[in-house]
Amino acid sequence: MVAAMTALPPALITEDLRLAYGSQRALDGLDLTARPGQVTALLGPNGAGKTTAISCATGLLRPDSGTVRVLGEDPAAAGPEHRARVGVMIQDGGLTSGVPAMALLRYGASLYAEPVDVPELAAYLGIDEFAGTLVRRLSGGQRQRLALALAVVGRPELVFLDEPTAGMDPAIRQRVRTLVRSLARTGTAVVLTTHLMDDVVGLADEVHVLSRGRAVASGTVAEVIEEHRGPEASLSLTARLDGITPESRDAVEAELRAVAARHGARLELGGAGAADLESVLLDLMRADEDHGRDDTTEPDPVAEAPRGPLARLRGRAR
Amino acid sequence: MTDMPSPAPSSSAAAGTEAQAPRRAARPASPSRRILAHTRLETRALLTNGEQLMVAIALPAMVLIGLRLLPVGRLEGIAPVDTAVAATLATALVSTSFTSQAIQTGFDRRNGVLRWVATTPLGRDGYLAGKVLATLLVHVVQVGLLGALGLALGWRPSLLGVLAAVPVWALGTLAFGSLGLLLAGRLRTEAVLAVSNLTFVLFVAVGGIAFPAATYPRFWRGLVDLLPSGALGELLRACLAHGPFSLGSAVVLLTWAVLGTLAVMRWFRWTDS
Repeated sequence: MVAAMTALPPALITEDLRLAYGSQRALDGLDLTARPGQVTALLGPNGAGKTTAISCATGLLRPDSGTVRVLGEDPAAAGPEHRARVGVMIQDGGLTSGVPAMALLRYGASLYAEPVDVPELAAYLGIDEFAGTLVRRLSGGQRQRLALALAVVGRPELVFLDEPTAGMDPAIRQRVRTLVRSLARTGTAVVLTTHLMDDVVGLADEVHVLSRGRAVASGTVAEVIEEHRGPEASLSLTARLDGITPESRDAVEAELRAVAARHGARLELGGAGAADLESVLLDLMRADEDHGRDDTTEPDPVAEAPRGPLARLRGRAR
Repeated sequence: MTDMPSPAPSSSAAAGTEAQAPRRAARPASPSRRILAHTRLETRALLTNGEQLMVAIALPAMVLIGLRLLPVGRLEGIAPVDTAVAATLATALVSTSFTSQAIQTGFDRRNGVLRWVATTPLGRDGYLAGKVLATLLVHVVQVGLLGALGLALGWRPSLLGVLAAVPVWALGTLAFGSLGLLLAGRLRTEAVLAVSNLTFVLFVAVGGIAFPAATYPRFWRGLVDLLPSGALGELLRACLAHGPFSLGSAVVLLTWAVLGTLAVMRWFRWTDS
């Protein structure tokens, strides 16, 4: 994250966003914020409202009520100048199927005045390896890379990435993460949805956990974990050990375990953040479902107030 | 693979804590450049697809050769090759404006292309403009190839007739193009495939394109006169084959063009949901 960027106005603000498909509420008072220079992750189970929220923020859907401002404008009423500032990678691809991959990327670049260097971007994401292949013959991961390239080729100030690393192999996923971090470092506001906790832990500056169309928890990854689990439950430290040799690795690990044991604690090495966040997410979903069942039997508006572990977290989300 | 490309505009604020000022806004290319880019993409997709080429070029060429050689679809006092060329060019127009556009747009809608396009600087208007231009470009290719084949078979059009065919061509493109978009914007992709192909065959075979309305039984002729295919066939035969001009056909085709456009504006759906 670029520290100075936090002083800038948010790139995305939604307030009390509501939208229903018939009797089904897809968004139910959603409040979100995404800032320049930050990666903001939207988490939640399928049907939580993540894609609907992005559709509202990109002008594809008009909310029933509430406000959404993207780079200071109403996206549903904005013109080409606004759309040039916002990159979008939609979940179902959105790729014309009857043209080669590289031709589609060049076409995407030609819609912008100052696009990224196309061969460079294609080489970075490995698109040059299937440049001449028709889009309809690409694998899922290759399509994802192409869709990501099309979302960032115009040098957007705000970019929405709906499950950007789904279906990608680990090496490409790592490249994509580096690209996302680079976008944020140069001032772009990145909003991503994902089901991969590693992506969130490794990338997100801010997390919004969505359930049934509203944010039930917001904050940094550490804040969401700590607020849900309580500070006494776990302590996460990030340490980098430079210069360690393979031979001494076991010894270092043994000493760390010994320290933990002296204090009566359990030590988890590597990937603990992702595991913790995933477990918190599942707890939140379960708690919110219980809350929903209670809503059904008690239609009292007071019952809308969160209970149990959500009470603390909702306070942050609002 | 290579190093990571710079995602920020070259003149934007540099990365790091010194980046106090907002970066310069990303800008769209000019409207004409965006529309031409989309026109190129659509034209490429149409002309490099084997099935599309079959429908756009091979099938009308078969109609031309068939009508030239077989003793069907002829009008008294008019050279068979003249009526055959008029029928062929009408077939080509319907194949590209209606069938190809319906199928391609239907797949674009199912694949989320229409959703993505709406988020880019091209937008929905640019998408439609590029599509119309691409259709016209493909028409030019069709007229060039099929016209050359007609000339080789003995067709000798008058310059006045060819000029008179231009507005008919434009009106026909609008009428059939809007009907194709209406199918693509309302039906499931599989239904678009079936309905557009079946309707195309009916338009050509019994809708007044391959055979003049005058050759049909009286009860059927009344219906054909009211179809866009019947009106297009009559008008192109008048322009390109020295047939009788029918003001009624012009009114019918104009009405289909206007109603079709209004229907698209009212009922076209950009997404499957």
